[in-house]
Amino acid sequence: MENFLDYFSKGKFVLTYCKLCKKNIWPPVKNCPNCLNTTMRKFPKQSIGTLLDVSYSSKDDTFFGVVDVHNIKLIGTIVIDTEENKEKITNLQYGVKVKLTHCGLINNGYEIFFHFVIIQ
Amino acid sequence: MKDNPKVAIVAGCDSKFSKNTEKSIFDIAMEPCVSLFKNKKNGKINKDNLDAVIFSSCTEEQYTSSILSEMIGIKPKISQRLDNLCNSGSNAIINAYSYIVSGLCESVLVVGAEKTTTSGKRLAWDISRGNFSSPIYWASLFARMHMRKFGTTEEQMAHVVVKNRNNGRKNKNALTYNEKKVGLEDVLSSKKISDPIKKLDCSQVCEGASAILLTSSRRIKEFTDNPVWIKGIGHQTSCASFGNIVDEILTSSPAKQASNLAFKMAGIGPSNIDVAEIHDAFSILEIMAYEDLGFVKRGFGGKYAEKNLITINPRGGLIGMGHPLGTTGISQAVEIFSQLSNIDKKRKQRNYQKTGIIHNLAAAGTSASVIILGVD
Ligand SMILES: [Zn+2]
Repeated sequence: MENFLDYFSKGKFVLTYCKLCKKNIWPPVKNCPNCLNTTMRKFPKQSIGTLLDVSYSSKDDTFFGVVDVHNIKLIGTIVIDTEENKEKITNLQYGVKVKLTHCGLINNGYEIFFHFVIIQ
Repeated sequence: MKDNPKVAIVAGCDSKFSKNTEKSIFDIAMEPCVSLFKNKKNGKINKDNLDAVIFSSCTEEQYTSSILSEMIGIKPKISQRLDNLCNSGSNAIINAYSYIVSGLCESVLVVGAEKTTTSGKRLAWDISRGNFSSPIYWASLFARMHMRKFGTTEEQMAHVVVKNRNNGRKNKNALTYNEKKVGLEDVLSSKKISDPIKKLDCSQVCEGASAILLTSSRRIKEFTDNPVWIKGIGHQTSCASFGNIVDEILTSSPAKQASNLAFKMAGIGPSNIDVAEIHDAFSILEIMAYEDLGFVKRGFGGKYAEKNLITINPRGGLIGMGHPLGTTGISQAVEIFSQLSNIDKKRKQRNYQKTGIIHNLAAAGTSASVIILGVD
């Protein structure tokens, strides 16, 4: 997986795709876990997903949630910019759409991060 | 299969779990082994009868089971180390069982040991967690999902903590031994870390070791008159990444599948269980386990937490006892052994206990092990 981290270090979101199974593969790996054929890298132009659930970390003073995006599930920061959006996630109903705005490496390259904003 | 021997636990022992000491992983591992072989209550137990050692740990140290064998002064036919994060210990017991049933070994010592600084605290592979890599983040998302879907409350989670902390404070080997009594209000007012999880809802990774001795029915008389038999085993691995478990965690989780396998093998159902050791790294996980083990239907775990129908986590669970990763599954077995056998009647919470269950998880519940134990 290491060479995939290079893309994240440049802020590029990358996943892998199996042409045969027509499926996105996560985490990015060389072989499809279904058919074991070699996967290809995919750099989605836009990453819009559904917020499955959300929580607030007092420790980090941030909202974070699990997002279904490109049919993979990621935990990321949910950036709250308006009162309306805060209300949306306080009483979360299924179907809130979020968009991946930033990703990259933090903590000296130790961890990947994902930032999402609510779009609808 | 009908000629295969049965397998029993014949002795078990915990070290005193602690926060952090200067001891080496091997000195920590030796503590329960010395107690096991030197405790007069274990009468017939003799280290010369052993032919396998399985060491369970997430330590970075190498060649651990052979070093431990050298320290104990035995020359086993099989000496292995096993790691599978938090359910390493349960998996080591499953390995021991398999060696005995296959006939490769007759008697196996299973030892778990961990330091607080263990490398098992971080799973670098799971990048789906982003920078929310600590277990508390996925656990709080599971808790939010359970609350949203089933109406589970923070107070119901607090019931789990009150029971487990108050069991822990009475257990001399527990991290919380002799701490002050905890009530619902203490839990609910403890510092919120990641909504809805508060400080007291969490177990603490700590230092500690446990050891159990297993043997075959063919040799049982050489060891004990109080065997506790392994009646059922189930293990299921679904994946390794949090992101790949979200869809199934509240429906057909690995724990649910492992539980079905174990009950099928034992030929009994959840209503036969008298005592349970449940993986409660966070209080919500115990509530989810009630459902996975079939004590209640899906969604009713919160309500079950308010009752006290059977003995659950008598050693304090992970919340009361502490959580040395590779040790936990073995410590759970030590406790169920104590609750079922007649070796130490003072430890038994209820007298009529005949059947017990061990439930253990690793890495956001992506894998789970369930072991059913019983006395004749
Ligand atoms: Zn494929």
